[in-house]
Amino acid sequence: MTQLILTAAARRRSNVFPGLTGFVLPALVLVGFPGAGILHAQEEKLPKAEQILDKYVEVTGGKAAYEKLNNHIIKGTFEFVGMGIKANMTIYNAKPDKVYVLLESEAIGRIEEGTNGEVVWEISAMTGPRIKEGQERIDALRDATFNSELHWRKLYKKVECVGMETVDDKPCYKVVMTPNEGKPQTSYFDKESNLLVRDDAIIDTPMGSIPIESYPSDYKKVDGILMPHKASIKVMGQERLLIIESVEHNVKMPADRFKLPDDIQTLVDKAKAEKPKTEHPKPEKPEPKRP
Amino acid sequence: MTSESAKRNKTNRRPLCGAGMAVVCLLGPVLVGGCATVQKEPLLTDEQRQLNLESFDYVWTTIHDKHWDPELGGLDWQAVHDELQPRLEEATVMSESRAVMAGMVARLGKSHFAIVPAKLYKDLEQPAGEGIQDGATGIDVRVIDGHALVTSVQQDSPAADLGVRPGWRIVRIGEDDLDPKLADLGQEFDGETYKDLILSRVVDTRLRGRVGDTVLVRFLDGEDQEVDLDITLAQRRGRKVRIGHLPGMYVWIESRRLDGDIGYIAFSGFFDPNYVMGAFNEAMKSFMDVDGIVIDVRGNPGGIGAMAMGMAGWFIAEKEHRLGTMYTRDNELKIVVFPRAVTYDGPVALLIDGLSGSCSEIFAGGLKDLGRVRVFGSRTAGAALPSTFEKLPNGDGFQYAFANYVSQGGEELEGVGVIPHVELVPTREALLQGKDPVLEAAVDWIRDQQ
Repeated sequence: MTQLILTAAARRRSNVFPGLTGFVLPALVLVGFPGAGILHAQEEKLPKAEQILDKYVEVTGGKAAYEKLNNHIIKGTFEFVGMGIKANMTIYNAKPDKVYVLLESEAIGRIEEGTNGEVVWEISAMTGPRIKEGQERIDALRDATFNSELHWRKLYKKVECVGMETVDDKPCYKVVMTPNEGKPQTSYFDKESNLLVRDDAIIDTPMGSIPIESYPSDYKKVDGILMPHKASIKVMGQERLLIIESVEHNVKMPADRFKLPDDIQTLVDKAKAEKPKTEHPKPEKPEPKRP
Repeated sequence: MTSESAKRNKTNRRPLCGAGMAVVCLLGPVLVGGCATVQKEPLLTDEQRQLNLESFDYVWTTIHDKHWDPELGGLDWQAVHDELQPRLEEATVMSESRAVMAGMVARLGKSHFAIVPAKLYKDLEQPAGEGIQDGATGIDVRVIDGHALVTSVQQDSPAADLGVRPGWRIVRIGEDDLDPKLADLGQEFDGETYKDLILSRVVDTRLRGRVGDTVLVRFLDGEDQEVDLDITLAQRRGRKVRIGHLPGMYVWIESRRLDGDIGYIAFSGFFDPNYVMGAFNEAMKSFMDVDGIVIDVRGNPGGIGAMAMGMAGWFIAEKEHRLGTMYTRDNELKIVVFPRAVTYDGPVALLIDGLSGSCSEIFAGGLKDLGRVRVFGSRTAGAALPSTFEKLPNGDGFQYAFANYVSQGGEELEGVGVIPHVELVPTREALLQGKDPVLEAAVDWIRDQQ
């Protein structure tokens, strides 16, 4: 879950805007990444994607260890690298798919995102409250799945190991994962350690489709689970850095942690009120019998 | 797109020190060599030379790799490198090195490319009240018809206490006679969309200093009599905000009801979202029943683009509208409007002038193109490119635009600006009478809509 939370957090950050002189917008795509190379797939037989993904669960703690976890609170920082902007970040995540994320900094203000498993929302000091819809909502709900590492079979309709590439000079298996709905994402697993070291995705937002590359690293064990504590995120030519400072599992979560904020509930109520009523089809009149 | 951009910019040239809005504000005196005394600079050390070379390479490479137009509008970027690097190597002091790099980015002929001296950051890191730009007179200035005019005086400010009035003409600040300098600059920047910005900021920065400093100003009052005033600077209006590597600035927001039950909101920058958006949102909630709303972004140099999206959401009820689109080399991003749960659907007037820049232009231009506002005032600065700000190895700041921007109506704002529906520039006569003809025209229009 953690790597997906990091990636998800990175994805959600795609429409966070760092403010700058004049008109300054945030997430811009970074082109390429350092140390990439393509290894010839013919040199060795590739494992199946299913094996790689299951192996990832195994090397990061194993199914039993994951299943002991019901929720977590992650605290850390989210930095706009090179721009001198750093936000404090807190992520709450609970079974089956509830999330609340809070980013705060003087530069960009307060940004909250979340889902109660049904409504996916955002409240940004800059842009105000909104409900996420369409593919953006679908992607967010998938990312919100707790322990998604265990549930990839339900979340993705196809997974395929398509070859090998190097990431930071290390050979990695390249796995393309096609979700039940949405664009494929590509994950790179270190051949030796089986850890996820890179994840490429295209995030659909109301602003457009944004390619993102995430590089999780600094894996540390917390409550039996090996989790990345750092992710470098490259988006539209710029870099973000996500650092995890603490992880608490199986906490007593505040009862209303995932409750919809009032501003969001207002939008939900408004959408319901504006929704056209479903008209039931009128029964057909029977044709009169010919005399 | 880039060749068209070149055509739009009459001279395809931006001020030497970079046309990043905040940078122009801060470096105003430098543009005309306004420093009263020249201090001898220390010679560069070997380490500084190396850092300057690294900074030069960083600037050159960043623009080479990230400019939205890989062809840079036809500019031979390698030739620029080959020409200027030797000059950098010959530089003996920091200002010479900086001038080479500033000259390099100026070759692009676009706004939002700038080199900011490191010493400005050191100063701006000072707590509010202790920086060299924290003190102000309370005078708002515009250069109109070649003359520096007081357009407003902040209540309870040092200038107000001394009796300065709107419409007074500023003819001398310290040792500087303004009219000749303004005439020279006016000629140099004639035809440029940002001319008003340059001229007004040159005057404005001379009226700033540390809190407690005094500045000697010669005015011509309402009877054209000379009035010499020694004005002791007081704390600038607003909250001092610092955003990453951007030089810090002051931001304020005000709102009130005008006669005739019209809501009025003015703010000095799209910064400090918690504060400015918080106050904007509260004002809008209180204005839901008014006959009309005036949004005043005159003098607003811009800021965080997303705030324009958030503010626009109060005036657009339908989804999937956008203010415009930004284009990077590989992507495009729509500057969408996120409608609020409850939106205001009455008439909205938007006030702009030549010092409205960047995000203000995106906000005004987008809402104008969507047909949601009527725009009053004078053409904006035409400096509307999405940009970012980084620190260089030598400690200086480097601002660069990473995307082009096209308003919803299909026009690039860069080099063009937002042209108001109703063009109005305050006259000295009107100012002396205590009038604000731009605001008055907006109010009259709102009343006519009832």
